Amino acid sequence: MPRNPDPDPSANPKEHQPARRTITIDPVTRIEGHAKISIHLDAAGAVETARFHVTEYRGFEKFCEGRPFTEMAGITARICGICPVSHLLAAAATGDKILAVQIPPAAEKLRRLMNLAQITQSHALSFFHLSSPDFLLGWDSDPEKRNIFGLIAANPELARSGIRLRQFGQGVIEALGGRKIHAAWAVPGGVRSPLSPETRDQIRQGLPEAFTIAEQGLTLFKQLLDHQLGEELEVFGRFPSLFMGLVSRDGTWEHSSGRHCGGIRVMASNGSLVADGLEADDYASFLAEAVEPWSYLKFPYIKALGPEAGSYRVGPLARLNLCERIGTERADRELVELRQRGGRVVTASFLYHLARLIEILACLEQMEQLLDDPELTATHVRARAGVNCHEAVGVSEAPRGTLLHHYRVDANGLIERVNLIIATGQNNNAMNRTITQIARHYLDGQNLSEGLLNRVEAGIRCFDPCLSCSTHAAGQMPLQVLLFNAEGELLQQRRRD
Amino acid sequence: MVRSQVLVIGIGNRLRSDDGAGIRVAEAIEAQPTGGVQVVICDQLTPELAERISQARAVLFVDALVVDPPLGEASEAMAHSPGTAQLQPLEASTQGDPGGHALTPPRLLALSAALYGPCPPAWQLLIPGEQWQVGDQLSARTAAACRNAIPVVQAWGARHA
Repeated sequence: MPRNPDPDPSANPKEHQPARRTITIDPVTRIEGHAKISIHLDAAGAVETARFHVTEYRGFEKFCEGRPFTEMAGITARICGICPVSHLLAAAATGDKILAVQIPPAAEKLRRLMNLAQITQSHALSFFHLSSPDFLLGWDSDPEKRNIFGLIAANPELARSGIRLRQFGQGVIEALGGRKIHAAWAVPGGVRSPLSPETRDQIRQGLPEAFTIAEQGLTLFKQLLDHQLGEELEVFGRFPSLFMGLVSRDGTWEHSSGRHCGGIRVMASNGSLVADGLEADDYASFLAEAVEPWSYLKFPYIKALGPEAGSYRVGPLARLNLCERIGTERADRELVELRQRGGRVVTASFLYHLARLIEILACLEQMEQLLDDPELTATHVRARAGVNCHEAVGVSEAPRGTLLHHYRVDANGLIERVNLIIATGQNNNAMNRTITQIARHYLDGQNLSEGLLNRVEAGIRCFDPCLSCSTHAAGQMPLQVLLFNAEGELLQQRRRD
Repeated sequence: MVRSQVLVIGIGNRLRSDDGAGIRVAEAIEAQPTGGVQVVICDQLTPELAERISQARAVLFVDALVVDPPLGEASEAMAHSPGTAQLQPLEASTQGDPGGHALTPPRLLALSAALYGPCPPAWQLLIPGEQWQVGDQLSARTAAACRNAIPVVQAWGARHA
């Protein structure tokens, strides 16, 4: 919804504060809905650290209290208009456990199909629209043109392809759930409606074009990596860390909880398994969340290792690092190439982009397999029961990483407590390390150039963060970058609204 | 290209009180089908709507509008009168945040034009809202504004269909 423009700017006292005071960080009024970065210099003027501040808060956990757990899928899907399906599926999975039922096989496969479509459409938006203008137009190109419109001018077919791929994913979600966004279709016990053979065949018709677009994106990005983007691999968040996510029982790529899911795996950068087969229900025993006063986004870590050594990354790159193989032909070929490029465990955050494209291919291949499965159109899609369990944790792989929903309910199924652990939050430490690395490499003296601003922003964009989800806040992601000296004095700021 | 239909796009969040105003109006239009008028309901504007817009004869975005409450006597007077929805012509524009997940109507129109050729004439109907807390009910004034907005949308549809 737009805000009515204030006809008289002088009516707003904030506009008249002295310039120095307008840079005061105020999470309530000036930067609500925004992210902000501060870069801190040491006494010698070199970058000491950079911080990614998220200053939004909505508090879904609090206002869900008192609601029936059966409403949670519909409510939590509203956290985000980009990945509502992820919350829908995690909430439904948590509800399954509260009912203590095993959902019908067709329902499980339909949920998987929807999650694959969700990952496809989300990754398509991230790569084709939000990130590729940087790759194709250049970090230092005119910022007025370095966006989707500049991309259209330079490569209209690529821009149209990105939209078509996203449209395909959204179309599958709509075909299954009746709506593209906030389809309250997955419910505790299964899904509301089965898939008709006619709708299945419609979905299948879109696959050939989607495969073509995914392959074109991969070819293009690998060419760019080979010829133009070498430095970015080293500078945009290359560091050792843990990686966390779901894998299937046989070690293949996994995105959903269900019969084939082997639980949560944690892997170190050297490929050693830190933990495997972890149950989502036990997350509190192996995950902890640190808080910092300068951000509403928490800093989850592996509890046994502490906030530093226990820092981990989630999302597409993590999922590809954790699995032994994807399990489909074309995506497995790309996985082999990724590992030739970045090692068995890829630590360069810039390769999140390539991981996204590989995951799109994996999603399309798995969708193709599912659509050939006769069980997909079975009509028994929901198991019914009452409250059989008062506390449960559901898990799903969202496009950005592992998503956990934890509910405690009373005897009537009313929510007493909610905790949501969101993918973007789990990458918080990695995002801060990434922008610190970029600032150290590119900051020229004490000058915040537009090119630096863009590279810092692109460092964040490697993780495709969704602040609406991670802080449960409404908003986009404009950036404000503040440069501080060792005494904490503000030297310079740049902002992009 | 033959542009055969006019498009009404209702935007909002049903669970944020008056933010659901645009959706309520669009749902009312959808419930009373009029030849040639297509309705799209969405929580936010996304790029794939660009193609749909390019195929329409005219487009109307219906959304809630955040209005700061007036003070003093004006507030008293306003409390007893329904808000008035404002129908305004809309131009494509590339201005604004270029990197977000969601689009504004002018940017979506510009995206449509850039990708698929000249976009159709467009308008927006903004319905004043005053309550934005969690809830699925409109405030009384916004509900009245929605009722008043429905014939405005129907008349707009009749002019362009």
